[in-house]
Amino acid sequence: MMPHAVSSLLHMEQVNTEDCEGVSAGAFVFQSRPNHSLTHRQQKLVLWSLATVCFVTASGFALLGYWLILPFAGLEIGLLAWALEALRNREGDYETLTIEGDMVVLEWHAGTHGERREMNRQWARVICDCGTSGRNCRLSLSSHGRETKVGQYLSDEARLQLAATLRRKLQA
Amino acid sequence: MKSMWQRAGVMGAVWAASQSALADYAYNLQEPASQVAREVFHLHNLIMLVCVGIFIIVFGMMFYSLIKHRKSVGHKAAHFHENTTVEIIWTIIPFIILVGMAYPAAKVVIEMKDTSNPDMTVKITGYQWKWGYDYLNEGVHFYSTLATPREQIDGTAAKDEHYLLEVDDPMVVPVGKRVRLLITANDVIHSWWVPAFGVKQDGIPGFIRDSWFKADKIGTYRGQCAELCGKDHGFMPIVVKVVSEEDYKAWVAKKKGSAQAAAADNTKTFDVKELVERGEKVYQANCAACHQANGMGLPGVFPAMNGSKVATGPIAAHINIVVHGGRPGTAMVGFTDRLSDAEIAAVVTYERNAWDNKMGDAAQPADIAAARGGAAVAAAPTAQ
Amino acid sequence: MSDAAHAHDDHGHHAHPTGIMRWLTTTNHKDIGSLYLWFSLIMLFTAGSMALLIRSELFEPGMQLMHPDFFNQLTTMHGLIMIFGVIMPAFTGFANWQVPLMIGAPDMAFPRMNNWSFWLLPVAGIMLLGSFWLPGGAVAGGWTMYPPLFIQGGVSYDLTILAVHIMGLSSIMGSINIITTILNMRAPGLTLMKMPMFVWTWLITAYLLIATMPVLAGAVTMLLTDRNFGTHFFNAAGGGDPVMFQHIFWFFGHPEVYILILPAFGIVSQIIPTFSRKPLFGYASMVYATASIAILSFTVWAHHMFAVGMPVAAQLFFMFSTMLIAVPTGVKVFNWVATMWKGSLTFETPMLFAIAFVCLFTIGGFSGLVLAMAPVDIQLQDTYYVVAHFHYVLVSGALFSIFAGIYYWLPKWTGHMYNETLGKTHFWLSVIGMNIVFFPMHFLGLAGMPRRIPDYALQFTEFNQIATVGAFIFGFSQLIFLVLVLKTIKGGAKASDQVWEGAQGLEWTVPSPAPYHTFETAPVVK
Repeated sequence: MMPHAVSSLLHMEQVNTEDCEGVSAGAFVFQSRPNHSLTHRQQKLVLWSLATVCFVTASGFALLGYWLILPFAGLEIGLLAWALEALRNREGDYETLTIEGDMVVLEWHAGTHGERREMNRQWARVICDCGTSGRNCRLSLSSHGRETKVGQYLSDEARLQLAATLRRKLQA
Repeated sequence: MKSMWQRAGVMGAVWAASQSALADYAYNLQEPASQVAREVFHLHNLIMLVCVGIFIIVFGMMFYSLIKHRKSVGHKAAHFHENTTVEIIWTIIPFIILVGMAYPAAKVVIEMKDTSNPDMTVKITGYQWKWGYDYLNEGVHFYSTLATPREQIDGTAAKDEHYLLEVDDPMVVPVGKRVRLLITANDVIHSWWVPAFGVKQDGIPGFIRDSWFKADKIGTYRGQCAELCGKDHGFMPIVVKVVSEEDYKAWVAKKKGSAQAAAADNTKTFDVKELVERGEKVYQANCAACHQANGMGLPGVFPAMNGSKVATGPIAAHINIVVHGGRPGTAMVGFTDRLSDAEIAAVVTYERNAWDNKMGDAAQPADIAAARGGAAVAAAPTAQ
Repeated sequence: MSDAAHAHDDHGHHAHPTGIMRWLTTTNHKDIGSLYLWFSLIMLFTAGSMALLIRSELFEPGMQLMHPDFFNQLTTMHGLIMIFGVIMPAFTGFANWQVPLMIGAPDMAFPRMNNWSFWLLPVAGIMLLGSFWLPGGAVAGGWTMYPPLFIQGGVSYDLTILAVHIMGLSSIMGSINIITTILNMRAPGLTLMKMPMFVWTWLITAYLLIATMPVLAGAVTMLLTDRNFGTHFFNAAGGGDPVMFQHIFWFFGHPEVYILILPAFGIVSQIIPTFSRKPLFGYASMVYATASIAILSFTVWAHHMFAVGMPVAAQLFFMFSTMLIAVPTGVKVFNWVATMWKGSLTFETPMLFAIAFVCLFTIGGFSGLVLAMAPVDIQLQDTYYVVAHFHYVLVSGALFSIFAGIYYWLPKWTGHMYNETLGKTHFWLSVIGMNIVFFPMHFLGLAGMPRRIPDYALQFTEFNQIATVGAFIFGFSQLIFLVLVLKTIKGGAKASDQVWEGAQGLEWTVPSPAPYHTFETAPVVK
């Protein structure tokens, strides 16, 4: 799909945090996407198994006259269904950052949103700050007064490491 | 199975007996006084022996390993991590042991539940916080409340031998007779439990559940309410006196005599002083648990009587609450089934004249009888 | 979901929140894990102090310190807080910290929901504790909330129902988060049957939570409507049935018992292999045993109700199904022992707690087997024997596994080794104190002492005094734990990456503390 600098990384995010002799020589390509270890079939199984248990129980009690369990079962399974649906919406998410020559291209896609942004390497700045103790870190690239986040699918640790790599790349 | 079961029982009994020298350190169930309790006793001993046996084998292995396979003695770790044969064996063996345990247990369950062919039937009703006994065949009816004086509980008097396990009016049954118990409750769930008979049955308001026992020996047997039923859950003991057939008959006759005397009281008229004197006793037995002996109640939980709107207001409304109960859902239930007209008259009069309530008026048994007629919210339990 | 969708559009540059706001707004799984664990620790000391008050009153016959109604408030709140405020949040804290690290995920699946599910808990906690100051005091009807007694209470009873609702909502959100994280965010190659046991047990626990929480919510709501809106679900005079509440409650309540113990199985299954330097014995059978315990837990609820009076067939069914649970539980114990067998054992504090867990939890299991026998249960139901039983399962079971887990992972979390001498002192005082408190309670129950009574007959005096002495030893030795944790956070010997020589799994490949270079080289799950 994208120029891939990353191959066969059996890793939580498909991340390359090192300089890579990628497809096009000299280019730095960083792509990350969230894991999707749950198949559609498994997803249905989770939802329907839990819905069956909840509704069979709740209906059983309702038949005996104790119907107030049903609405709670409905609300809860609704929340579960929403959560699983939200996971599906994330399936196409990715984020690609390419640095080649003077061009920095940042492309991301999340749910129905997406953007491709080009920046000049000279103008692009790395903005990175954290809450205390290296957690809740934000990483973004800024150019012409506008920030775009990168490293959304990384852990804080990996994000900080990416920040260091980007600083090096942008200065080079 | 049978012989193993009994051998286990004997071993347990011998062991329990050898401990009896240690005064109050009891290590096993109370000495059974009925066939069912005895079977439960043996069943418990058997399952305990099985458990102790398994425990010793499994943890013997573990502690052997803890001693022999430690790094500090230079033991190198093996690397096996499964063995299907072993895993199947230690799934099946416990299963077989459990089936072996289930058989004798099931037999006792069936025996416990067999309430057929009783020699007599007693209906037991739990109240907050006392027990009511109705001898259905003899027509005897009475309440049984804690007899331990308040001073012993507060620590201002020495505690006697049966502290908290003594009542004013115990249940009396003849020895060797199958007694069927119909157990219910009036307000919240209680549980009637006499360990020596192996009987524990919840009393559930609105429902009647049954149980039974046949006492082996003459004697006094004590138990307690076993289901949390509010503030004085720990203060509603059960005492059962098992007596000979003749003594039982004499007791029934005496009970009937005092019931007639009480009935006669209901037609009399008393002066205020008599009513207050008698009312204080009724108050202590029935009301003081919540409203307190000093009439101050418990703020936020139980209203005060001293200076209350009820006790210093119109007497008819006061009588109505005592007879039919207070607001629904509160602990104040009607005493219409529990106290005689004379007793209610006495307690109402006491409440209106005790402490700072100097009303000077009096309720008479006839007033109570009239109040009973109106808008009775019967709390009679329906059979299941 | 919206976390990801909108984050990229965040144009403005906001300063990071500091102080309390940092903790109120954090979505980081480690922060939230720590919050859960601190909340749990505070609640442990709160509910533990209540237990010491209870034990002080029970030191000798007679009423010395409090009114019986306040005693009932203490027993009720001690139970509610220990279950919903200590054990469950502690396990959720472990899940937050460890599950993402163990499966190679950057965070939980729904970080913002994670934040909400934690912050609901202090709200519920304040409502529960605050009710002590309401007219009539806190709830005194027992943590099981049986009507009609529960219908009688004052305004704090309504507040407690509300608090239970809030804690239930928190649990549901937490469980959905954990399920989706475990199922969807595993590193490539980490198939279900390669997951660490802790992750497995939490997956099953979260299933149980989702399956049973609506039942609890419905049950307490029906209590609420019975109390306030004139319904008669549990009122016999209006055609209801008070016993049905018990059926509904325990339909939730028994799976809840396993919710409180399955993560403990998981923690212990991580620790024993590490200090035995040998892989967990019978991984697959451990997974199947956990799943069968979970399934069986739906078929045994009425064993809490043998004294209610059920038909013979029902008594026999619930007796047999309860006894059956001993089989998969036994498999687990045998597997742990087999893991130690021929290992190369060392006895650091986490291992000591894990060994104590196996041993003492089994005592709780055996007393459970005794109680499973319906006729014996009739004698022992609602006595101190039951109190002894569930404290062996929940104190030397759940709580000891939590201690074990904290000692095991604290070096990973803080980067510092804890003080081993202090840890071992805490262990020995706890294990000795715990047995002095709870072992004599077996004898008290057998001899006929009912539970939930503020005062008792004279023949129970000796064992009660022993138990009270033990309670103070056990209670005060927890201060050592508090000191140890604070000291370890502040400093101490530097922990290595792997921390423990025998440790296996993804989380140990991360440097300690784990801030800057998680997985510099890609981990491969073989």
